[in-house]
Amino acid sequence: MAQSERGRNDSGDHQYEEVSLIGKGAYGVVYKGRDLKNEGQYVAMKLIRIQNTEEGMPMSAIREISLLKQLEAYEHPNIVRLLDVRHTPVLSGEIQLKLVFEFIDQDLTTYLEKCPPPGLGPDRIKDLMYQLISGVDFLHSNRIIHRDLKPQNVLISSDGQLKLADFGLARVYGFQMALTQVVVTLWYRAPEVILQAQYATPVDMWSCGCIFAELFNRRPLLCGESDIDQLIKIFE
Amino acid sequence: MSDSSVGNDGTEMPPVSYSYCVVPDGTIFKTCTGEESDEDFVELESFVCDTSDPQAQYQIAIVTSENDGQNTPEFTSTEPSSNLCDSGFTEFIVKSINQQCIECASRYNDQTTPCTCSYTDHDGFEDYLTDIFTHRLKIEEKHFKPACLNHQSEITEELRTVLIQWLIEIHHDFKLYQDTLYLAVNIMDRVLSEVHVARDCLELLGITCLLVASKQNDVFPPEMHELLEKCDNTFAKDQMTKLEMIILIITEFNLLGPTVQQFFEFYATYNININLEDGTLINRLKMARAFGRGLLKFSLLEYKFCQYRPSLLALCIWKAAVKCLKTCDDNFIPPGMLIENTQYYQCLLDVDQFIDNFKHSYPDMSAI
Repeated sequence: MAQSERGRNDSGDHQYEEVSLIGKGAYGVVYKGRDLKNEGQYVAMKLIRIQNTEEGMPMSAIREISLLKQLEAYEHPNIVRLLDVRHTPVLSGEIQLKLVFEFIDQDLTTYLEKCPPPGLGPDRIKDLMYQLISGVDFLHSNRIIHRDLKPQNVLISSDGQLKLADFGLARVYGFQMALTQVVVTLWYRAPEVILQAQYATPVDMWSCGCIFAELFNRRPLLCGESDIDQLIKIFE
Repeated sequence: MSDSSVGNDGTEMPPVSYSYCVVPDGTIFKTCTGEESDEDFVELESFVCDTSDPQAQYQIAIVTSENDGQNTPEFTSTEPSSNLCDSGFTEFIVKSINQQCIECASRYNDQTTPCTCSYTDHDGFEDYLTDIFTHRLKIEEKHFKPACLNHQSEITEELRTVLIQWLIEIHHDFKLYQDTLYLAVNIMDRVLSEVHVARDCLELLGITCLLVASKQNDVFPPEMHELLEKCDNTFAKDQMTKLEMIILIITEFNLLGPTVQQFFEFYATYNININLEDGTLINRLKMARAFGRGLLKFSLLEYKFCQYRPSLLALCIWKAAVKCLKTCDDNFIPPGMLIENTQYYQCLLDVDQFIDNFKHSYPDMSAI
């Protein structure tokens, strides 16, 4: 209800101001923005355009929002916060959906790039891994598989807090569940996914393992160029 | 509020072009398909802005703009409308229920359902079995809307039954993931408890809920035009898109309510897991599970069953299935669940009666 309350107080969408482009996701653009109602606090805004000619609201948006909404109540420290969902008309026949997240300075990739040689100390790595695993464990115990864990989706705040983001591919598992095979960015993809076998929560753990190695090496562990190449690299 | 009757008593005022209107306090925003779409958005906006106001009343209705003598869209196009009113209606329902029950129970029994994935709810996630259950119990309340028809003037229990019956067929035709059906009904009930829905919109509401649920659950949800064809193209895609948005706003994107089926699967799996050494008992329990799954689907049709919390209803169905198959679950009580006795016994009684009705109209049921 808090959200609709907020929504009621301003008719147009003047609450959030775009500052700069952060990146382009699978189904939308991400901006850094300011929340003008909250002392100009920085937020990350993911914009999704929905055209009338398409199939309504994209599946990934529905899943991401409903998942985050469900997790909201727990305020888990290692999951990114969804602050607000807005929709505004842009052109005729088009609706723009705006997901407002808390703003986190950088993702794990940039964090590792910026990190001066010889890289992260064992204690730092231990701490990051602990946070990563507790985030994943929390998801799994809430019957969610992330399915797209990679350094780009792992955010690190300025005070060293790790947060999982981008739930566009995540999904809730359940009875008689059919799962797509095309999940997880290739380099972090578990063999059972590549081999198109049954998969479940362990796919996230595989990705965690890849990230673990990357924390030490400061480069991805297995950089396959194709499905087959990735498999060969795994078994080498 | 009297204006709304324009769209509702369809026979006299057939529509030429119509659009969804959300009506706070009886004011109708009249829009026609094809007109400036800016206006439509204003509606959506104004609707969102008012959701937090408990005093306001909302409606989902089709507003007719002109008359030209065309026929109004019938409520459920796949059913002859006479079924709704004449005495054959109940028979029709019971008959089709029975056919479906046998069909689906046998499908569950021979375990040949084509499925590329894990067969039970918890395959591969055994470590989290109880965690997940506790989590579902915790969020259950938020997604549970009993008495969802209390504020509806045009939607009756019978209409809801016919609609769900029709949704079951569509769900079957598209071979959607089982839980999609339960989720769709849950979403629909929640929408019904929040806004007033006109009779001629109910069909679109049902199918759009199925779409939303399917987008949540299925790998390949049906496309909008396929679903619209199922309604004999009575509605425009544009209307569906808008209603979808309205559904998402009303439910505030909280689409992951636990369903009866998820609870049921937990109870069954839990009991099967603790009795793994006993081969004969396991077989009986598995049969109870198959029987219960059949019952579950038909419990959706009964309005009185949506008065019980899903976890309780699922438990009663499990108990009833166990009793029917003369097996035993050692007075199983789900871990961490508080059961209120009066409600529990009332629910058990209702389920028993439900099964009795079944047996009555279809004696072969006991063979399953």
